[in-house]
Amino acid sequence: MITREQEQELIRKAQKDINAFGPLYDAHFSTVFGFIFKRVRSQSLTGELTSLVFVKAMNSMSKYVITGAPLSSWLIQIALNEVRQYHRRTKKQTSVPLSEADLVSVLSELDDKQEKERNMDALIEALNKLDDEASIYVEMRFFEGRSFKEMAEILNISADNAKVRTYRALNRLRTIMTNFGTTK
Amino acid sequence: MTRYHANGSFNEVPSQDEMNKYKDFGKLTHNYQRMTNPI
Repeated sequence: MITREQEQELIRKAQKDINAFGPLYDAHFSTVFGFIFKRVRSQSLTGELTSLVFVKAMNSMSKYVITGAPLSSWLIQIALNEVRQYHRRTKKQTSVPLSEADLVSVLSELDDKQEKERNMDALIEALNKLDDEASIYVEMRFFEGRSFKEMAEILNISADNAKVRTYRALNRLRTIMTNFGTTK
Repeated sequence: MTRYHANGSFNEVPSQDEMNKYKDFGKLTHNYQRMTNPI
């Protein structure tokens, strides 16, 4: 692990000489790879997209402004755009597994006291009906356990805005689940 | 498009060794040079 100060020093070096990007690549490779893998579920495809993310990062390195936010937030922002583009381009369905713990983290936030088993089915159904943009907030907040501050840095919005959008996505989930309950 | 199914968790990722198979800074700089190098 590198400290924030070390990272900023490495960024300054890489901005002068792109060949000095190596240590930053080493430090953040796993983070970016993991982030993409969770969303595309294929190692070879993740490898390609990760490479693309770092090439784009190297290409924009000279324009990168050190704000105090970790470099990983910026890299994940690029990765998220690549994942979005991939899904838009291929229109292929990616099957993503959710454990009981994943589902419970959302259910506890929804504060739903109905029968747990039925709720799990309804939640899966609702998550699959949720639009892609809203899914991003649910994934980051409840499955990955990110703070609103971290989400804000990645999505380039304020922390308050990240919170509002997350709870808007939750409300949408609740509405879909309610409809699911009445139609089942 | 993402399709969720219940199980095998969202946060399951390959091991570090498996990830490292795709880690190649030499290839990355080659791709970068191709992208930036001006029929």
